[in-house]
Order: sequence, then structure tokens, then C-alpha cells
Amino acid sequence: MPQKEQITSTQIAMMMFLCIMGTALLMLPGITSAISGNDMWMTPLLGSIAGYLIVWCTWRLHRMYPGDHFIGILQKALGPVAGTFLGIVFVLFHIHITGITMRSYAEFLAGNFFERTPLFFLVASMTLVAAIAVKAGAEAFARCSQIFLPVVLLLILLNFALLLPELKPMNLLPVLGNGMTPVVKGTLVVQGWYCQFMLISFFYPYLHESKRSLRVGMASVAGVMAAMLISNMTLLFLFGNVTAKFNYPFLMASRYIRVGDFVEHVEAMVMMIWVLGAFVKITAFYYVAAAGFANVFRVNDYRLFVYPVGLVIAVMSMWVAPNMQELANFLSTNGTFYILSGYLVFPFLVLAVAWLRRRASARRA
Amino acid sequence: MNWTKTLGAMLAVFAMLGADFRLLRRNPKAGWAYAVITVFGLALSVTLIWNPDLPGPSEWISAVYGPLGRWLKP
Repeated sequence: MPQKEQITSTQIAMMMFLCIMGTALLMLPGITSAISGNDMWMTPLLGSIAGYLIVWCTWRLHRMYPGDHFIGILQKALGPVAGTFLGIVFVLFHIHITGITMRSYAEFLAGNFFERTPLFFLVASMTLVAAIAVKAGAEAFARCSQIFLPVVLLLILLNFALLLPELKPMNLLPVLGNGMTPVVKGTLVVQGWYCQFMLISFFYPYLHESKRSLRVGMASVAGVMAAMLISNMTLLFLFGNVTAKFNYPFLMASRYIRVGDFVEHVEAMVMMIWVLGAFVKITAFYYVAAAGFANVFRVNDYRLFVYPVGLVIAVMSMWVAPNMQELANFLSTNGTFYILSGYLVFPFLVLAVAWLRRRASARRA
Repeated sequence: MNWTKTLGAMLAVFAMLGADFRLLRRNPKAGWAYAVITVFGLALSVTLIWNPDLPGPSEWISAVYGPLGRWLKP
């Protein structure tokens, strides 16, 4: 893996923030509102626990095996045979999730703005752009995320500020009206997004100041938590229980923005800015897939695999679900446990095995 | 229509090979890995062109995680 590129800790924090928020604000409020009702604002707060845990886990693995990303650590911690096999399984799992991500993005555009455009065209165009970004290198698209983050943040804050006259804080009540169970269920779904922070493991080898790697990850999780809290509160105060009926409440909320008589139809801006966030997320997932394949096939440079992996991702995104409703249903039920088992449980198991091996070899020495 | 799409997929693969030609010449040993992924991608795309309703990995996962998923349903 070419180590000439370097990413600063701020860039990693920004990239991971956009990586999570790229699709979180699109789909999560609708899903958590359907599950948790009025208490959906608690779900990002409780779900952030998974984020902090997984950032700590990947940081520990990075400290044990500096210079390696997660797939490389798999092979060093679990041995060549088990490590390669599990590496292939993980990369295939990751490609599946990338396909789901790409499909969510394409369905969002096709459902709201480009009704007559074939879905594959949206997928293919984003794949091509992401391929160019991944070929350019991790440093290049880390800088992209540095440029795009303020724009996305501005969107979230502006949405909140411009909707202030229409917000009704009384929608918050009753708090915990149905008990904790719906909140726990909603939190599980949100944790499916937070545990994608695990991908930070693939960017740690590029970090040139390892000392700040933990703080960087934790700050990013805190940022995601704050952003999700603000936007969830905005949607709850605006729509109340009706949030559950929308596929994309954030987009619907932007349609309510009307300042004076001339600031209207803001949803086109929302779409443009959302494409930026989705681009960073898809590029990061794409990069991880390419780097994972390169490591599994024992090739040093991942740049060779960028276009073939792009083909696989594009085709996979058409395969993952027959339509939007099935996709949303999969994500909010079975998909949650699937994502949690791959991005949360599996890294912790790897950490446990690596730690036990360290203890065994230390005792022998 | 399906033949047009199949032709399109093969054109995309040829374009890919053309773009990566120089990289492949420099690194011939990685060529087998490149071929594996490309063949897999091409085969999957052609299969999906001719049979778009093929059950996907999401269906297989739903079969495994079915009971847990039903608990989470709103």
C-alpha cells in the first residue's frame, strides 16, 4: 500500500463525519420515527455509544498493528489462512453494504428529482466519479471532504434556522410515552449507521500523527451525534408524528422553507448538497472495497482494482433490492443486525483474538 | 433490448481494460486478480440483464436474520 500520501487528523474526522451523515439524514429520521415515535430524538444520543465503542476498538487495533488497515490486521492477527478467508468474507460483506448505499442514493435522486431517468444511469455516473476520486488517492478525496463539510454543515444549520418560525417544541411530548422499548429498537437502527465509523481503520495508516488518532475519531462521533440531534429535533418539532410517513423527511422539511417572498424551492439546493455528502460516503466505501480486495489478493497497489471493483459495486447496487420500499424495509429490520454484526461485532471479536494472542506470546516470552 | 444492454456491459469492460492497460502491463502478476474481479462483475451484470429479478444477497441475509428482524418491525 503506497504510504507516500498523508492525511491529517482533521481530514479524517471530516471524512468520517460526511461518511456517516451522507445517508443518515436522508433515511434515518423516517425509520426511527416509525419505530420510536416522539422519542426518536433520543436515538442518536444513545446510538452514539456504538460509535465511541467502535472508534476505540479500531484505535486499539491500529495501536497493535500500526501501518495496517483492518484487512491487513485480520491476516496478522488471525493467521494467513483464517485471515485471508475472513478478509474475503468481510470484503464481500462490505461490497454488499456499498451496493445498498449506492442504491439508497440513486433511489433518493430518482424518486424525488429524476423520475424518468433510468436508475442505472444515476448509479453509473456516481460510480465513475467515485472511481476517479479513488484513483486520485486517499489524500485527494480527504481534501474533497474538507471542502464539502462546511457546505453540508451549513445546510443542516440553515435548515434549522430558516424553519424556526414553523417549529413547535410541544411535539416533544409525551417523553417516553411508550416506554423504553421503542427507543431501544430505534437506537439499534441508528447504531447500524454509527458502527460504520469502523472504516476509519482504513485511513489510520495514512495518518502522520498517530497520537491524535483516538481524539480525532471521538470528535467525529460527537459531531455526528450533534448534527443528528439538531436535525432530528428540527424534524420532530416541524412534523411531529407525521415524520414517520415520509421517506425523506429532511427533504420535505426543506420544502417548507419560505423566507420573505423569494427564498423558495430550497429542495434543489438540498439535493445538490446531498450529492456532495453521498459522494464522500460512496468514495470512502469504494476506497475501502478496493483496498480490501488489493490486500486479499496480496497486491500492493489498490489503484489497479478501482475500475473492476466499481463494476462490481454498480452491478451490486442494482441487485440488492427490487425497489425502494424493499430496500428501506431491509435496512430497518434484517439489515440492521446484518450491518451491526459485520461492522460492530466482528471488529470486537478480532480485537479480542488479537489481544489474547498478544497475552499468550507475552507469557511465552 | 437485452442484447443492447449486454453489448453495453461488454463495451464498459473493454473501456475498463483500455484504461488500465498501462497499469496491467507494469504489474502482470496482479492480472489474475484483476481478471477474477472483472469476470465476476461481467458475469453478474449479464445475469442481471437477462434475469433482473434474481434473489439477491439481501434475501439470503433476510433468511438468516429473519426472526430478529421481525422483532424490530414497527
